[in-house]
Amino acid sequence: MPSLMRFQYAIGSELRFLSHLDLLRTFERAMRRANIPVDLTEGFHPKPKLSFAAPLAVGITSQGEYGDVFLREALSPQEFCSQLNRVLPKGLRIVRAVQVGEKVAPVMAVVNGAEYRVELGGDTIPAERVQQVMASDQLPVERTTKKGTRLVDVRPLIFSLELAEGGLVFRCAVGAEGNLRPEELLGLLGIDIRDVFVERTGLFIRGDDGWRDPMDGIEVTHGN
Amino acid sequence: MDRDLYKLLSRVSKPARYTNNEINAVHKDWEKTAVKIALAFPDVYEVGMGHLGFKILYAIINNRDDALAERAYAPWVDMEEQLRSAGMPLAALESGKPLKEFDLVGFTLQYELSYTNILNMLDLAGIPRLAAERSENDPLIMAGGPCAYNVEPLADFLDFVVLGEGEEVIHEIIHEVRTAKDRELSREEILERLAQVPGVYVPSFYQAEYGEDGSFAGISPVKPGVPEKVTKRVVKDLSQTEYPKEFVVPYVDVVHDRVMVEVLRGCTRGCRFCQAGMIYRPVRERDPELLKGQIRQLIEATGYDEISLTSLSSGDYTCIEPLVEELVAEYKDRGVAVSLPSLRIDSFAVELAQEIEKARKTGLTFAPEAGTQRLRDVINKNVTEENLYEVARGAFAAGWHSIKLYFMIGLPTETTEDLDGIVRLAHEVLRIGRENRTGTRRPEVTISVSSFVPKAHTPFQWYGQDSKETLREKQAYLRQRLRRPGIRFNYHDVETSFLEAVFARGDRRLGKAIARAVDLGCRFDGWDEHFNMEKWEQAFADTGVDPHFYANRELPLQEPLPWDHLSPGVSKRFLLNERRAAYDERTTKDCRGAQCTGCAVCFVLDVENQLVKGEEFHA
Ligand code: SF4
Repeated sequence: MPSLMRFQYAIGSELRFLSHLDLLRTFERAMRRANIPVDLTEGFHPKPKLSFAAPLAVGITSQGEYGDVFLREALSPQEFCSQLNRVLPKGLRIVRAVQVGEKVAPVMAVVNGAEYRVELGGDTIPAERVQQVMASDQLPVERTTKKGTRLVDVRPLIFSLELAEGGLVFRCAVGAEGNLRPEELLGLLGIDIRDVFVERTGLFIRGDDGWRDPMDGIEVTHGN
Repeated sequence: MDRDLYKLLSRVSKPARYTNNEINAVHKDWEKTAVKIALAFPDVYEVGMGHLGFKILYAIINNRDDALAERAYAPWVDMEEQLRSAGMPLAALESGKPLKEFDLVGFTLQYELSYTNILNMLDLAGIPRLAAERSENDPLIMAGGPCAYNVEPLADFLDFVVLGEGEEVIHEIIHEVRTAKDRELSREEILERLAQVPGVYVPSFYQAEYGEDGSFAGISPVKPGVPEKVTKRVVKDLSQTEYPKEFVVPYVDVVHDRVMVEVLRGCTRGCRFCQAGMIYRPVRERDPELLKGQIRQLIEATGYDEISLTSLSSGDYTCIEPLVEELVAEYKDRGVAVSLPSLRIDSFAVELAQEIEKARKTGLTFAPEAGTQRLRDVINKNVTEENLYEVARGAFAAGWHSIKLYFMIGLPTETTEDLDGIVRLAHEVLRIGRENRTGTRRPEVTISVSSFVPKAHTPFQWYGQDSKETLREKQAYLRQRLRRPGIRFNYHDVETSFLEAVFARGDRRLGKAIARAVDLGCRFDGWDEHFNMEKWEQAFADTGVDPHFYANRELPLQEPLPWDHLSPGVSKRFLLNERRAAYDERTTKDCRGAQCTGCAVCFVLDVENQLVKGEEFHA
């Protein structure tokens, strides 16, 4: 019976420079080394049915990344975690996994909020600066994509921004519906992202009732 | 990761290629290991990681208790800038130790256009470029690989050079270095001992002479006991040879990123332009059962989704068809594809290609190399027009829509007729495609034309490369005639082929031009975006070197050659005979499983063609 496993993983400093594609490749290979019974796509060149939520920018570590993988055979979440953690490289770790009913929307489609923590490494940011950003109605920044450069108002993408011990914590939008690039916000604060350590502390599903962990309440949907 | 390193890496492209910690990378105790070797690839990580020779050496060295091997690559230009401005020396990946702290730094010489990167890497490592200027504390700089057979342009920069296959000689080298360290021998003494190891060449122990007209007049040892001629090393039985049980698995996308097993080594087809076909003789095939075991082990250790059966010409492997069939059957359901590095269908059937294409849809390639039967006889490329048409009919009928044909221009005796021959073949294959196509896509023929570079130790080593003007005219001639729908025409830059020819037949006097070119900023010459011929021209002018003298001159048969003292075991007499046969338009048969044609490698090195038995395998 094919089943869907949703897992949370962490990216440490050793692997902070992997691109999204590098990460995908690394997971595919690790799953093969760990003999995880991953389901494959049909066609000439079968690929593992594996997807990740909200790609992480190169250079950023994370505590809370999420992936979905379809399995051909049943495997307990415990086994899934321990088998994978045995073969994953330093800097990549499965935090937890849950078996998910197939009707649950893919994690990449539902995750739309992220929290980041910035470690300034001795530099400080004046509190007024932070207030200014939060008080603005509009924050236009230049964004370059493959299609060219355009102005984007990032203000609606920023939900919170606070000074914290040694740095900053902020919550913002991620995903197709609106996505803040951490370097854009840091740029507005006069910080070059290449000089500071940034970590994504979590990904979330934003709802009317607040921010929800992508795995909360998932188990109960199993078997629906 | 400390903040400074992070800041530095955040500022370069693809930083993950510098960060190490890949699966299966070997981290040994630096202090407790006697002999430390850095395997340095003179190109970027993504290119160097695909190199099988280094994977083999890495495994062999790290299997020893008394030695360690680490990897080093040429930093891309942005990383070089960062290293220079931070004052950080070039280091090996595993330990992060500067190259300067190793006992040996071994470069592989895969192509001439990487020479400037070697000097630049030495510069970045803080190791003196010139062997003569290195101190007792500097590592020994060694080199090997195909360009070692005419390593003379690099003679000033290398302490010693290894000719031939490394699997056995590396143990002897480690033994010598270890002994030397134990006994605290001087650099000179170590090199004297290494010069006694068969296959090892110490350039500084030889002196070259030149005639009054500037021609090369010979090279001979200047120390007693140093061999007049160094002959390559070769393993007798590939099935008894060490092979990696695991590969380092990169994170970033690299070339040949897959399980590779070497099905055979050497090629005796005898194409007269081909250096590989001369220097890697004789043919030795690996036992198919052994190969299957190696594949299983490597897939488990790496998690790769592709298996590549590599060699100079894997289609020639005696049991290629049953091997491919069994592998496809065994791995299909696991999403693991089987591939052959270049799907050259001159040596095997379309049915076999189909077997492979079940898993992966790439184009088919065919390499007639020349446009007429006459010229194919000259170069001893034993395929006929009918072979090509048959394959084309089969391929289009089987659903392929495109075929790529490889040709060379500037071959000895080439005339306009031969160029017209290329055009005719292209049109004919396209016509066949239109008549036999089964798919919905329009048939397409790609004609890829490279310029012939005469190489040392081939029957065409005496031939002067066509001038750049002539090559350009020939390219233009073809371009004009191949301009029609359904045909794509690719050709290579003439300048890089010219530079390759300069170094392929160069002598020691080129060293100063290479050094000057590096000073002028030349590096990554094999990369279009970095190749700069103006700088090279200036380097030649500044050092008084005439590059045409090396590339374009027809060498008189009696003139000594700068590589006469470096032998792949193939005799000069054989090369002369083959040259004669070429000009007489006579072909020479493949000696594999047939009569010896007298290249001498088997007698010189006490080896023989070793083919596996097809019948036994089927059982
Ligand atoms: S010595 Fe004879 S059999 Fe051996 S590789 Fe040369 S031509 Fe072939």
